[in-house]
Amino acid sequence: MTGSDDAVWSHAPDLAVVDSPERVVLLNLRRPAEPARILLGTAAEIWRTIDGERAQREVVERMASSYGVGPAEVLSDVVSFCVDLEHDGLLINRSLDARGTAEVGPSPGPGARHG
Amino acid sequence: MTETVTHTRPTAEEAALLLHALCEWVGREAGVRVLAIKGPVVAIQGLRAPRSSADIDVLVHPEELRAFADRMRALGWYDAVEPSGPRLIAAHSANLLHDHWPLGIDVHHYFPGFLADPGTVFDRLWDRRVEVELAGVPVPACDPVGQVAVVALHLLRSHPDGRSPVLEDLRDRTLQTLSPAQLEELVELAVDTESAWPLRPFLLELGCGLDDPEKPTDAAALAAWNTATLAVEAEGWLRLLAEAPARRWPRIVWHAVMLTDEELLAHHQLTRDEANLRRLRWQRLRRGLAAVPPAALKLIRERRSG
Repeated sequence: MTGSDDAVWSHAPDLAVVDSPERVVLLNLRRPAEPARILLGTAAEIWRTIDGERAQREVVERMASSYGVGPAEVLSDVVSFCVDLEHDGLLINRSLDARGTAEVGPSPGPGARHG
Repeated sequence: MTETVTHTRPTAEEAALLLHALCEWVGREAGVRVLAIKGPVVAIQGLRAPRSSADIDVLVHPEELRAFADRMRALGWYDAVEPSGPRLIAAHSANLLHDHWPLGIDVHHYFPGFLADPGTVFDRLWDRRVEVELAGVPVPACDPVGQVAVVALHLLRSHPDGRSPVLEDLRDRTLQTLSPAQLEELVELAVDTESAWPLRPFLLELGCGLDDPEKPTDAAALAAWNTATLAVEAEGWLRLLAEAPARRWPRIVWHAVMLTDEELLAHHQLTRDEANLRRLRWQRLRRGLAAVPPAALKLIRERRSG
């Protein structure tokens, strides 16, 4: 499992996202043949807490606080969620980018926008 | 603790937004201009109350249809079962389906009622496009003026006299949404796209009708529009019979009642089952028998009046 306390996760570029009170539905436009990913409950909350600025430690603390449990109890869930979504191209570990190994930043998309 | 779902499909409302974003992405990748028409954009533009539908609609230039549809097929989209019966309006879209998605995509290469050259119509609507954010993605869409024309033509296919609650709702919302200058642009667009005649009942309701709109260049296209919009149930089959030699009648009648298994099941979204097929064919026969007399009467009157 990757993702240190200092890891900063951000949403990948080129996602189509429908965020409703009940859930978050994600479509990775860079993998347009794949089905949409549906996040429910705490998964949706973690997604909303990730903002590309907060360190993983802060995300864990916020989730623990909102559920009234200790950080240790949610750490592995948060990390495995983030790693899983990173695998599907939905999240980016920006701390890896600092070492020059991850892809970040807005994508120009498949081509220039139509003029 | 965390819960993610990949085996459940998005709802129709979610899918409509995501699929417009997908079409925009795929279009850009394929170098195809894809214009969102109807659907959620209409509600966002205030031209109708939000509601879900069975598919999303996009318009592409006729010369770019193949490139776009082929790219979608390469992503697992497949063509819906084509109706095998007679058509009163020529095929105007590719209807694509995907097992991951609860909605289909209607890829129009022209929109019935715009009687000018389809490429010209597309260019006029594309030139007027606006970007609407759907699922967080900026999607090129018909501007409110173009959208009113598209939606009105869609509704006029079923209500050619312009009188129905849905058209009244569109009229009221159009008057609330479009400025007087935009209403003038609507008339100009109708003239440019040779849709002034089909749109005339609606334009009159808006109070901006043309007294005597110029007839479309393609008189046959206007005649086909009138035939299709004024058609009664079963008329297409009776017209087919009237034009066919008598020796082909038994085959046509048999096909009208039976259709193909695939077509019947797809239309009713049922799985293959002999009991389902028997029930659907019996219902179809009863409905058809009830529809034939009024349709025959209409055709006889039409022929007598020349």
